[in-house]
Amino acid sequence: MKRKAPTTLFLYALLLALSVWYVVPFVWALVTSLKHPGMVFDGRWIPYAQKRTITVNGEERELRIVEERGDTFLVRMSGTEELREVPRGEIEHVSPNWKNYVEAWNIVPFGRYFLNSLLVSLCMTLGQLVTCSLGGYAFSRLEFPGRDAIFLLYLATLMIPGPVLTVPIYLLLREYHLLNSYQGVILPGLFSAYGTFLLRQFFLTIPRDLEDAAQIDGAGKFGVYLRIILPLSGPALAALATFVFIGSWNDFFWPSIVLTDPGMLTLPVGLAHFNDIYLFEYGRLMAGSMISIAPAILMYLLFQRFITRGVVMTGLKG
Amino acid sequence: MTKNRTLRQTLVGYGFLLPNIVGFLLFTLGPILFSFLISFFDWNLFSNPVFVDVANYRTMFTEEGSRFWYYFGNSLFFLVVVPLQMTIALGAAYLLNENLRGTLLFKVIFFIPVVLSVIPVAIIWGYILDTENGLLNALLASLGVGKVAWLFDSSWVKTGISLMVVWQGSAFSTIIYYAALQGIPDQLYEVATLDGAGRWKQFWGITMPLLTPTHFFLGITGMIGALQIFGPIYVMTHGPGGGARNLITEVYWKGYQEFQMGYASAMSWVLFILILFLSVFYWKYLSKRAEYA
Repeated sequence: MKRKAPTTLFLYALLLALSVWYVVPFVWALVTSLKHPGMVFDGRWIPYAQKRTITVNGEERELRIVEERGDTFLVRMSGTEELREVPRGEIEHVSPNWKNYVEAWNIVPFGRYFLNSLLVSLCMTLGQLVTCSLGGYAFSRLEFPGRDAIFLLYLATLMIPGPVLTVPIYLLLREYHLLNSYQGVILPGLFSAYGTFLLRQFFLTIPRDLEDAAQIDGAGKFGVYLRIILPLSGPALAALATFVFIGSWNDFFWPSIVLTDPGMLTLPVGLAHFNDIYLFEYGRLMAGSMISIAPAILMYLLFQRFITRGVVMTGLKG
Repeated sequence: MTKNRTLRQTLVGYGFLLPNIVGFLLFTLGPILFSFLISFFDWNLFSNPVFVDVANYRTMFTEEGSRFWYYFGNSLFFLVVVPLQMTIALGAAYLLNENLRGTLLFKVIFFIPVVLSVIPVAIIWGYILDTENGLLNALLASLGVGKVAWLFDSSWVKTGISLMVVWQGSAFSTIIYYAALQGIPDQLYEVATLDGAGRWKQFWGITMPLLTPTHFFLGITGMIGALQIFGPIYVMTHGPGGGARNLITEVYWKGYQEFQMGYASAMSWVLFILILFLSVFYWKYLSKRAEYA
């Protein structure tokens, strides 16, 4: 469709407005995370630092700020009663404070949380790829009594919300002393009816002729699964992997119930604890938040198309 | 001969299904049945379960101390995020679909929240909504509006949390809408242009009707998500949820803080019935509208 210039301008204005809505929280968090203590609430979009000393007649002297007056500061030199009015620019200078990041990193074992999250997410992703593809293959290609009835039962459970399941799973894990363990977080996530359903639907679209040819060549059911079905299902497997990985990486409800040992927390749970401890210390809190979202943003920038396609295929819901 | 073959097929079939079905029984079907069963028991983990018939449900619905209807109302309040995030998303996707120069950058910006964990986002928004030093109140002040205690005033806390949920949730809907818009053939618009239909008319006459399945999908998933908001409430109110307590935070509280497993299960079943009811209602409503469109 041809566009008139005013229309294009208007569309750009809207795009820009939406971008502001999405970007401002990030930028604000980033700026805040770089502010010096005492400057956090100055409301400015650039992190400034205030000088502790000033050079008077070639002599370095300590100063104390008495009053802030718009564009100037009223300061007192150490050891004198003399008050001076100094322009803002001489006292303040742009200076990011990386210390918030160092402190956040030292206070909270982010590295450990990161590894915990990675372990949990990788196990779940691999687990679901295996169980769901095996199950999807059975439901789409094999014939055995009870198949359709079982599949219907799977479908019927898709609507059930997670919290209905959690109490019994919690009790089950408690029975086997798996609370507060990685296994406890991971085990329930090694399987999903949804993933099975998703892969079954995809496997159904693969032409059967290929398998027949392979079977004539003497391949068994497992050979067909391994050498025909899986290699042809790249996009579906990738989509499921994306779905499971992002979902488990960001999950909060379940790991926050199962995990209590501070060293075993996943990134979101650890960050939530951090938030409870450093209440309103926004410099550090924003630094911690930036640390924890950095890997996700990096992943997204690297695998943009891949992730977007995965989201569309699976109907990912965070 | 045939009998042998059937047996073999059965074994192979269930062999493939084995790891899957074990997971299904242990972590889906089993828990569903068990959860339904214990919703009729009084069980606090430290004593033996006692069968109490429908007492958990009765307490929930009729006893004032349960505050069930308050949590129920709060859960329903959060449904406002669904139309909001869908509207923003449709707008964003529509703009992206115009393929203006720079669309790639805008796409990154609009899509990124989808990969972010809700916890850091909630912490960042907690600062934006801070009463004294928050960005939103600063903006409002410049418009001459007084301070709002977004996260501490129980009449505003749900609105504050909803803002954050819309900000993040709209990204998912944008991706889905964008994919759907890309699937609409250009010819339809070309024909409409020849017929003299303008942008506005094309949007309501072609785009919106063709997006009906997408509206439906996003409406349902959005609703299910909105009824299960937990992380943002937990983070932004620092704990049980203050004036934003909904059915999920209550299931969490009753189940994992007070260990009233029967009551928590009963409440989670009520939540499921609510989701089911709203889904059917929405489905009926949309299919009726599609008929007369």
